[in-house]
Amino acid sequence: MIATVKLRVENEMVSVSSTNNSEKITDQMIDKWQDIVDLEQRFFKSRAVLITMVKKEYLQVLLASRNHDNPYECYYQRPFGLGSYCETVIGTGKSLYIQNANLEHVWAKSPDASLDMIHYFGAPLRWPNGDVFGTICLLNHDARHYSEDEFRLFETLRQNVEKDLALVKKHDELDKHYKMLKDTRAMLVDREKGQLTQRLVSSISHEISTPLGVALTTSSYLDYAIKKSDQVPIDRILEGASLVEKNIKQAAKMLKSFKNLGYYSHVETIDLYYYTHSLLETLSYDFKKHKVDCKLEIDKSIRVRLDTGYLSQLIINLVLNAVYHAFKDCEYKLVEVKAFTEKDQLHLIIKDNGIGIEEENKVSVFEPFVRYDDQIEGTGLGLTIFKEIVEEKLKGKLSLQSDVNVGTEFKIIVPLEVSDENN
Amino acid sequence: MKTIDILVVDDERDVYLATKLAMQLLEFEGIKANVSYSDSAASAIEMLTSNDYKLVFLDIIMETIYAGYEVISHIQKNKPNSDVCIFIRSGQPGNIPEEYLSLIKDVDGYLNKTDCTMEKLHDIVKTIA
Repeated sequence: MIATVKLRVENEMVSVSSTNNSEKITDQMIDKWQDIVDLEQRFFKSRAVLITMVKKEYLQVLLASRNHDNPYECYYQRPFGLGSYCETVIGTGKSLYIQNANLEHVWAKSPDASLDMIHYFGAPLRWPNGDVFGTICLLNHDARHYSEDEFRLFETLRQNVEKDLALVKKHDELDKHYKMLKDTRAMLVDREKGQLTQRLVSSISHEISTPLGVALTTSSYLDYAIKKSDQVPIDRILEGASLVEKNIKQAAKMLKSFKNLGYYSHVETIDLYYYTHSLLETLSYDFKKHKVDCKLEIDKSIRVRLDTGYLSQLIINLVLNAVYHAFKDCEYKLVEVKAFTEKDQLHLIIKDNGIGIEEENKVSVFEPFVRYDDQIEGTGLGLTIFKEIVEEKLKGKLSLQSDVNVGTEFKIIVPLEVSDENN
Repeated sequence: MKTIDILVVDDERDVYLATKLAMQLLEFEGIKANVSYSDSAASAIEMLTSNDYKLVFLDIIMETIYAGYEVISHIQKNKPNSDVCIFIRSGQPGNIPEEYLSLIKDVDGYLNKTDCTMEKLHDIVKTIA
């Protein structure tokens, strides 16, 4: 922002660039600055020591020394253009020393001199980029001399305040960068989810083409065979019909499990074994590609009510994470998925017999962008998303158990919605 | 009546059953098709070693993601003079990895599983038989 101030001696208006970030100044800084002005007041025996702050069209007293005869108070405001001492300091960017305004004609009628403050010594306070913040000044009702050391002390304290302003600025920048990082992270998480969906689309479209192809071949066969039904044995036609039905059902099942993969929150009651089984079927392409064996160990009688949108993301995320990252040159690659219920809680275990996670990496494994192998593609966000789903979406807990060259086990405990059937 | 020996290689048995049904109707057009089946590249290689097939419908992704190419590679190495016709019938035609590119010269055609009507299969057999 631009503030326009009046230089009294030159009798001209000048514009200066100023920044007002007063809301970013911490309480600790204010307390410290208050100590500075109080200390200066006692030390210099001034009537008033002020720290002022440039607002758009006026100068405001930010801090005033707390002596009882100080005529200025905090929040005292004076519009620019009256040609006060401080306006000259702000306009010139230099310190100003008026020993006795009554002896200098031009200052005798200045606003502060009218308050009987005929002595002034002040200096500008600036942000690191040179923008004006305000002033720090000593005022008195009679003339004053300062020794060399007194000038030096005043300057040291002034610099002290400016250093705090530099800190405020740094902090502000850090805040902005942090916010940017957070936004970027959120964006990348979305992208990772998109990539996962893409991979699943390609996997499912491959898997579903087999039953659809069989159904197509057979139904075109049936069309012809029925026209020639006098020559085609009925049991062949029936065989064809049941082949079509079976494969259409298979395709429909795959489609349904793919629908379950949508990133939609959706609470429903499911047969856990069959649900998980069909989820894993959609990944058979990935299992084959990486020669990974997958075992499912869930009691077929378990029915649970929970958010399957998140459950499917969870299982897919962890299983694919194992398929893509848990194994290097392992001879036999195995991923096991186990689950059981206990007191309205679902325990889900996803375990591999891969290379394991080094002890020092266990803590950081859920951090975004942590990747232990640059050779393998990935954004390093898979497990970050996983943690977010468990803790924030499903309100559950997760633990990690891993031994190098033995394998890794992720255990998730999530509360279940109370099932309709159990009520 | 002409006779043709066909091998269906696919890890899904129903693909074979559907193909067999479709091929039986060729009898009305004077072609007797003997359709055999193997569910993996390994067993296909075995069957190709001991039998002479005229036509192979070959899936790619079976016990491994590129299993089908192993079958072609085997034919190339061990039966370079064979007149077997190879039709790749897969869910995702295209995207052939570089190391298998040299094999495609021996491939007679590609079928997308979801395009496999009986008519298409008949046309293939009729041109070969």
